[in-house]
Amino acid sequence: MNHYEVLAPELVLLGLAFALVTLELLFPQLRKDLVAYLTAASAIGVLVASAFFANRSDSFKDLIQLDNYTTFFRILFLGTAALLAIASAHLVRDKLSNAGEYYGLLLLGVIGATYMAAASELLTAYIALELLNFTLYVLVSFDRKDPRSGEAGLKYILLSAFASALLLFGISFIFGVTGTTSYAGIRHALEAGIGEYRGTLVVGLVLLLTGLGFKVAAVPFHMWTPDAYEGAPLPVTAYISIVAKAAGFALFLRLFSQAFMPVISDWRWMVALLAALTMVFGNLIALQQVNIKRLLAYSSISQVGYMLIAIAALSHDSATALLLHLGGYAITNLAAFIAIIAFYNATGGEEIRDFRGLAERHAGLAMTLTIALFSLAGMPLFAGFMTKFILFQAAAQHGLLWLSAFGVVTSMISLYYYLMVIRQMYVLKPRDGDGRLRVPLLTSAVLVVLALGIFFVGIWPTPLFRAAASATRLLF
Amino acid sequence: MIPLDQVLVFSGILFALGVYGVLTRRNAIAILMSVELMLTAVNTNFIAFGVFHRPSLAVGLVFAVFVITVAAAEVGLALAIILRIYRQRTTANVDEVDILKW
Amino acid sequence: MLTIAIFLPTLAALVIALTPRSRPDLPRAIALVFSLVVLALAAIMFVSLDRGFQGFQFTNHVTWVRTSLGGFSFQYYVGLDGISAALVLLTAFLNVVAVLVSWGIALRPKEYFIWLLVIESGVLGVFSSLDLLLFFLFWEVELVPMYLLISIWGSGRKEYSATKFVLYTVAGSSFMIVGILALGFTAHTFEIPEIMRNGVREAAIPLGFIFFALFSGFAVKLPMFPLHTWLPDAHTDAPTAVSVILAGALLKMGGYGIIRLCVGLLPQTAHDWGLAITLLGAIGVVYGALVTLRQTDLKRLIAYSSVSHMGFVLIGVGALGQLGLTGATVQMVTHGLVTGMLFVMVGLVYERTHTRQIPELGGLARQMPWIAAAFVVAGVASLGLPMLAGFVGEVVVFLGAFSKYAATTIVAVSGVVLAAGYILWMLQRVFFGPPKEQWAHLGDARHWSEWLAMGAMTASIVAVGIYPQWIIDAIDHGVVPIASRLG
Repeated sequence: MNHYEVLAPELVLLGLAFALVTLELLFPQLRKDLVAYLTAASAIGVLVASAFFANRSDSFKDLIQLDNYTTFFRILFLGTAALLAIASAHLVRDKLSNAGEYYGLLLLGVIGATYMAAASELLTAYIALELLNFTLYVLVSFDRKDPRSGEAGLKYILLSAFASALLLFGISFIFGVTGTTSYAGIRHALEAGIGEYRGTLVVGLVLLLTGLGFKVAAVPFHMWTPDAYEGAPLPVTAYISIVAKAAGFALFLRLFSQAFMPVISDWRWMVALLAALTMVFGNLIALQQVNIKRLLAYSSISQVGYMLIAIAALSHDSATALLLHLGGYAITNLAAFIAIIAFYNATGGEEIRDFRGLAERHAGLAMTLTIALFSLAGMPLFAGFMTKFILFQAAAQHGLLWLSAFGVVTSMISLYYYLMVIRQMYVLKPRDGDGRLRVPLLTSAVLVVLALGIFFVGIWPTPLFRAAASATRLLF
Repeated sequence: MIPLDQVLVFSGILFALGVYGVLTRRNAIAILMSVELMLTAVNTNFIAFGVFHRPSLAVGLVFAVFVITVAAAEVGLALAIILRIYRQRTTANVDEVDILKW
Repeated sequence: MLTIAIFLPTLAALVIALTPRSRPDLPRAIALVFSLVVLALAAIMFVSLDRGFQGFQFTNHVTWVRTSLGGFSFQYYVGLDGISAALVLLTAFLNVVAVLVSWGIALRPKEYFIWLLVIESGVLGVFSSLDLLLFFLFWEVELVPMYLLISIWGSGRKEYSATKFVLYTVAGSSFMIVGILALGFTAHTFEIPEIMRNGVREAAIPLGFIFFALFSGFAVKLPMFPLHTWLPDAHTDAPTAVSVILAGALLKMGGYGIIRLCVGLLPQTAHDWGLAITLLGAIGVVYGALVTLRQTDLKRLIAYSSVSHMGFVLIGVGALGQLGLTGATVQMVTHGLVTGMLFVMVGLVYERTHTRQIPELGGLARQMPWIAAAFVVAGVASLGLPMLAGFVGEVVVFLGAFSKYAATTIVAVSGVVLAAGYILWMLQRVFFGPPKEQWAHLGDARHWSEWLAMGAMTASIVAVGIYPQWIIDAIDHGVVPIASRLG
C-alpha cells in the first residue's frame, strides 16, 4: 500500500504554478512584485510542509523513490526558488513582461528538479530532466527586448537537445544490455554479470556520461554555459547555476550509486578525467573574463569539477560530502547572485569594471559579495572551504588523493579571479558621479541571512552534514 | 525476422549522420532536424532491444513513445525561439547570431 | 587564557567595526588598548610557562566538527611550548608597536585597524595551533587583510606588489595543504603532539614528497632563496606598520612551520635533506647580502637584508641539532625585533622627508638626533654587534652549524661581514655627511606614540642582547623534544 500523501508537495506546487499563471490572466493590472512575494510565500509554505516528510519514504513501482534524499533536494530547490523569486521582484517588474508565467515556470522547474532527484527509473528521470529543461529554455529567452536573451535560449536549446539525444542513445544501449530501465533492475543485471556485452555497456556509459556532462556543464561539454548564463536574465542565471546544476547531480548521484555501482571500475576513470579537465579549464578560462555573469559561469563550471570528484570517488562518504557541498554552494551562489541582482537593479551594470569602488557606494553589498566570492574560492571560515575540504578529504580516503590535489591547486588559482573582483570593489575609487546605491530592505535582509548562512556552514557544518548523511544513507 | 545486430548498425549509422549534421550545419532548423535524426536512431534502438528482450513487457515501446512526445514538444519550443530571433534579425544561422561569444 | 589571547584581536576588530564613522580617532585607541592586553596575556604566559614540564601547556582541546568520515574531525586544539611562547610574545609586542606607528593613519582608519588586528589573530593562531588543519586555517587568515593593507594603504606600485604577495603565498599554501592532507592520512591523525609521539611510518605516499610539499609552502613565506622575490616588493610598497608585522611576525610563520612540522614531525626525512637546507640557507645569506649592497631604497635595503638574515634560520635548521634549532628560533625572534625596529625608523624618516632614496638623503643626524641614534642602534644590532639582539641569534646558529657543516658556515659568516658593510654605509649616507639644504626644516620625533615605539623597540633589543638567557631558556624548552627525536 502506497502512501500517496508523500506526493502532495509536488501536486500542490503544480497547482500553485497554474494558479499564478491564471492569476495574472484574470487580474492583469495586479502589482507584479506582489506575484513574486506570493510565489516566495507559497514556495516557503511547501518547503515547511515537506519538512514534515523527513524520514518518510516510499517507492512507487520502482519509478520514483520519495525518501530523505528527495526531501533534501526538495528543500534545497524550494528554498532557492523562494529566495530567487524575492530577488526577481524588481527586475521582473521593471524589465520583463508576463510575470505570472515567469513565476509559474520557476515553480514548474522545481517540480522537474525534484523528480530528477526522486526518479529511480531511467524514463522517469529523462522526463523529469526535460521538464526542468523546458522551463529553462523559456526562462532563458524570457527577456524579449534583449536580443542576447533569445540568442542564449537558441544556443541552450540546440545543445541541450543534442545532449539529450546522446543521453538517450546511451540509455538505449544500457537498456539493451540489461533488459530493464529501473535502477535496481540494472544493478541486479550487472551484478549477475553481463559477459560479452561489456563493450556495449561501456559505449552506453560513455554516451550517458557525455549527455550528463552536457547537462551539468563539465569540460569539454560546457560550451553552452557561458552564453546561456550571460544572455539569460540574472535571476534565471542564478536559477540555472543552482537548481539545474544541483538537480543534474542529484540524478547523476542516484543513478550511478544505485545502478552502476557494480561496474565502478569501468567508469571511474572517465569521471575522474572529466573532473580534472573541468577543474583545470574552468578555472583557467575564468581568469580572463570581464563580465561578471560569464565569470560566475566559469566559476560554476569549476565547481562542477569539484563535485565530479565526489562521483569518481563514489561511496557513502563522498556522496554525503557532495550533498554538503551542494548545500554550501547553493547558499554561496545565492548570496553572490542576489548581491549582483541588487547591484544590477541599481546601476544596470554587469561588467566587472562596473563594480569599481562598490565598497564606498554600498558597504553592505560589497561585503556580502566579498563573502560569497571568498566562499566560492574556498577560503577558510567560509562555507566553500569546509564543504570542499570534506569533499577532497572523502575523495582522498577512497584512493583519489591526486584528484584532490588537483582540486586544491586549482581552487588556489581561482582565488586570483575572485580577488580581481574584490580589488575593483575595495581598492579602486568609484568613478566620478557614481553615488551611493539603494538596496531594497527585503533584499538586504535576505543577503544578511545568506551571509550568515555562509559563515554558519563554514564554521559549524555538522547540522547540514547530518542531514546530508541521512539523505544518502539509503543510496548504498 | 531481422537480426538484432543489423538493426543496431542501422541505428548507429542514423545516429552518426545526426551527429555529423549537428556539428556541420549552421542553420538552426537543420541542426534541429539532425537532432531529430539522432532521436530516430534512439527510438529504433529502443524498439529493437525491447522486442529482442521481452516483447510482452513493451518497456522499449513505451520509452520510444515518450521520446517521440518529448521531442515533438522540444521542436515546438525551439521553433518558437528561432522564429523570434528570425523576426529580430532575419536570420536563422547560428553563426550569424553572435552577440555572445560562442 | 591562550584562546582569549588569540581571539581578543578579532573581538577588537568587531568592536572597531561598530564605532561610528564620525569618530575616526576611536579605532586606534581601541586597537592600542586591546593589543596591550594581548601583550600582557602573552607576557604572563611566557613567564609562567613551566620550564620543567615537557610538552605543550595552556592547551585547549575541543572537537569542533565531527564527521563520520573515517574518524576524521576538525579540532580546535591550541597550546604553547617554549618556541611558540616566544613567538607569541614577539607577535603581541610587534603588534603594539605597529598600532603605535599607525597613529597618524587618516585614510579609512576603521578598516585599517580591523585588518591589522585580524592579522594578529591569525598569526597568534598559527603559532599556537596543535592541529594541522587548524594550523592551516589560521595560516590563511592573514592573506586577504594583507592584500588589502598593501593595496589600499601602500605606496608606489602597491597593487602589483600586493598581487605578487598573494600569488606567491597562495602557491605556497596550495603545496602546504596537499602536504598536510598527505601527512594526516599517512599518520591517521592531524594532531601535532600525537604525531610527535608516534612518528610517521612510510606508507602509500612517500615521506619525502610530504616533506617537500610542506617545506615549499614554508620556504615561500620565510622566504628562502630563490622564492624570495615577492618580499622586497611587498615591503617596499607596504605602509610602515604592515612592514613591521610582515618582517616581524609573518616571515616567522615560515620558519616556525619548518621547525614545527618539517623537522618536528618528519625528523628522518629532515636528516636526509639537512645539507640541502643548509646550502640553500648559506646561498640566501650571501646572495641576500650582496643584493642588499646595491639597494638605494631604504625599505628595499632592509627587505633584502631580511632575506639574508632568514638564511641564518635555514642554516640553523639544517644543522639539525639542539643548538642549531635554538639558534634558528632565537634568530627569528631577534630578527623580528631588529628588522621591525629598522622599519619603524625608516617609517619615521620617510614621514619627514617623503623619500626613501638613500642618495637624496644625508646629514639627517643634525635635524633628528634621537631618530638617528635609535636608527644606529637598530642598524648595529642588525649587523650583529655584541650586547645587542642580532648578535645572539647569529652566534648560536654558527655554534650549532659549525660542527656539522664547517665550510658552509664559514661561507655564511662572510654574510655578516657584508652586513657590516651595507648597514654602516647606509647609516653613513643617510645620517652623516654634509647636511642638505632641503632637509633643514625637519624636526625630531615629537609625538608620544613615536617616542613610545622607538623606546620600546630599543629597550627590547638591548634586553635580549644583554641577557639573552631569558629567551633562550624558554626556547630550549620547546626545542629539546624536537631535537631528541633527531637522534
